Amino acid sequence: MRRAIDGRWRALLFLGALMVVPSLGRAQEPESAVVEERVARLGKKLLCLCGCNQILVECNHRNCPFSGPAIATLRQAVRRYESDDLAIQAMIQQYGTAVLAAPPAQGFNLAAWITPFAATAGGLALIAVLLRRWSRRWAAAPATEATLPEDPAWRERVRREIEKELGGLS
Amino acid sequence: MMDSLGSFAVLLALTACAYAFLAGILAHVKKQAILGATARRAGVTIFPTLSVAMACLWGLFLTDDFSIAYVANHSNRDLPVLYKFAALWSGQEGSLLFWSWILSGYMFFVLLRHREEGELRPLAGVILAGVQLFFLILNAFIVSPFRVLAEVAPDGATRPFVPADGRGLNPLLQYPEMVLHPPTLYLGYVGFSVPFAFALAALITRSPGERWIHVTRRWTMIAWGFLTLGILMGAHWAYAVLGWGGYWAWDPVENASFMPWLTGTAFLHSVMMQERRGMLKVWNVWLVFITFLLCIFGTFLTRSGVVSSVHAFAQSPIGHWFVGFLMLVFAVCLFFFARRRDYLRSEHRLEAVLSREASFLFNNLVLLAACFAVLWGTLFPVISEAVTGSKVSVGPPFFNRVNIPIFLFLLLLTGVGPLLAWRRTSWESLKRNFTYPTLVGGATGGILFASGVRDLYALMAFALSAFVTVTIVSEFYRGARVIRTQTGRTWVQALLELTLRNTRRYGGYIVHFGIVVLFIGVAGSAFEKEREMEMPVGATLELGRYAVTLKERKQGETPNYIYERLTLEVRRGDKPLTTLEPERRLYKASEQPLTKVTIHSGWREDLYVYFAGVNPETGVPIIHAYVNPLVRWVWIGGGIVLLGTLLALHPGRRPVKVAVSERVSARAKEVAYAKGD
Repeated sequence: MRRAIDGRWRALLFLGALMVVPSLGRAQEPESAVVEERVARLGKKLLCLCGCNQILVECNHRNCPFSGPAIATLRQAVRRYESDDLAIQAMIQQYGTAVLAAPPAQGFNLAAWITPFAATAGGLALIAVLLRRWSRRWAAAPATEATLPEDPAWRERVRREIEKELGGLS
Repeated sequence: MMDSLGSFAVLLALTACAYAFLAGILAHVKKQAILGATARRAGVTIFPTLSVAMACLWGLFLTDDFSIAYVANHSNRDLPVLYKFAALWSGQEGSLLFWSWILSGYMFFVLLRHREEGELRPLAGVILAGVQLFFLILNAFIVSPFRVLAEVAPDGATRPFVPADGRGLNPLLQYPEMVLHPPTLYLGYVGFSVPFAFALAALITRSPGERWIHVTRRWTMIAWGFLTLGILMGAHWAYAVLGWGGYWAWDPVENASFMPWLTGTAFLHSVMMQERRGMLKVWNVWLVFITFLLCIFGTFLTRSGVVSSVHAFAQSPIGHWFVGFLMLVFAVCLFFFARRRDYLRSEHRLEAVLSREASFLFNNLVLLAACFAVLWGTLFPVISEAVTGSKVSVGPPFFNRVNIPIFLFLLLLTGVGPLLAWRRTSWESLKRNFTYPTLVGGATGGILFASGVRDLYALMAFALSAFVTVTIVSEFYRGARVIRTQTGRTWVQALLELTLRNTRRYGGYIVHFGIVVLFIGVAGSAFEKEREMEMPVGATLELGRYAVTLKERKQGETPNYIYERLTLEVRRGDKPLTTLEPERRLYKASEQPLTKVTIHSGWREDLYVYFAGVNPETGVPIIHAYVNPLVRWVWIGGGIVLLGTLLALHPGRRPVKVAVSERVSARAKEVAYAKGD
């Protein structure tokens, strides 16, 4: 009976070994490369908080008190979570939202992303409205004092420029 | 002795400045010419007086007088003389004195020249004296660079203290370019005080005519040129010294210099509408005001500790002084604008959407939008913390995503604007002017796409660069062709004649071409490659076309620092290319480390290598290498921009008679048109 159990266990272990060892052998190198690729990629979304304002994986300060430990934490998070979002979330839990290189597009921080484009769009709309109004006014009233070529200020300027140029020749 | 003389000189300058300011105001209000003349003379004396203070501070650095706190904190005995000279502006106190000195130099020049400006010059002098007064108060009472180092004795008494050696200059600043970068940047920042003074003086006096706008434009161009040079040098320093592989990181200090550059650029474009068409006067005056306010704001950002930055000054008590000064200047601008806005009424209205005027409006909007995006991103951490209570960071990913589309639009306008006619452009003219540029731009994009380039922004940047280049070349071609037809000169002579005949216009085109080249260089960053590797002696790192082999690892010492140097052999393909020697240094006086970057620069790409560190377990050096495509074009583009600026500042040659008669006849036609003939 004992021999039978031992034999079964040995067989199971052997089978297990057959399954695990090659898979370990296959996965060992790629897993490390994949982790490093993810660390490099996600590290570019994070900031070093030592005061240098550099991207986490680009901080080159010797003995930087932040980037070294933070990259190690990121590596752990990447190993623990398959999802990039979860790994980033783990970093936020550890270091706060300040570790993100750009503000998250949610809540009040959404304003960071929207405002510049909204301001630009508002400016463009304003210019478009002004241009339309001005050109309509020009079309509707081509003989107004301000726009006529007979405007004395315009004529005076033309006269001055001609005088200046002719003066330069004489 | 020298410290007492320096302090006395600062106080004397302060007194002269206060007199120039107060007597100048009184002379303007009471219309007393003699009092005005004394105010002007007092203003002129500030420059030589502050020069004495500067000479004293330089003397203290060169003689290693460590009894002075500022010298002890920013220099040491073994610091090379060149860096002792540059140490003057390496800290808060000295750099503020340097600022005042440059401002006094500008003031000296303004007060001795511009005699033809009538009432405008004295008042501009008074405004400059007002700005100077603020900085001299800081120099004399708040952050004096001449303070003596003291220690508190056990009995509680304070007594002078002279350390054996100073704490040394920040190693990052011990780089030849750093000797020139701060002065050029300051010449830019401070230079914007002059157009500000003239614009405000013109507003106050309701200065007749357009003389003030010519003076303001010229001074803005000078300040803008220096600021451009300063920014470029700063970018090159960051690239060659900081070792993060790039030249621009959207650091708050970089942003602080970039914002006035953007508004100054907007002014240099929109001012043409005022000169030619008497339009956008309110806009122009406010652009000059905002540019000056942004210069002061940038100084506040870098010196208050409000935002963290690798090269900002430490948190200091002068932040609220700058806030107060900013508010005061803004209030003064607002007050006079409200009182005098009738003087800024436009002489003409926009006639058509397809016109040079409309393109300038869009150009201004885009430049201001870029400025706002930079300001918003720089301040957002502070705003967010105030609103939500939690801190966020705004780093390069934000600035790149927000600003790249804006700058691409700006690049498009750079090509479109100059080809549109003033007042109105016909569809025929549009077709004639834009067919070839559009075809070449489209073809460039198509070829790059077919050759595998998939980065959308890079594709757009290259295509737009080609488009703008063709528009610029066609402008030169058309003008030179006319001269050739009229005079029979060669192409080179005709191009030269054309450029010198209207330096402002063709200098501007050269600036635009420089911006295009710069964009091409920046677009190259989309194809950057990098690799980090632990490298024992004999190991090889392969990156792109390069193979980098560690040949030797050596340690040594100079009087200033201890170093560990790696000798790297670089091969491209089978051929040896160069030898690079990155270093890690430890500066003795400051005990601060520095990584010395090495770069092999080429037309196509740079190989950028730095000694990232040593594995603490194995002791093996770690090398970080980048291949940065097209970086050299960033510097070349910057150089072309500066060349164009110098050309545009040149008064230009009077046109030859044949050409003039044509121009005059064109003018005569305009007059005839004005008369309705």
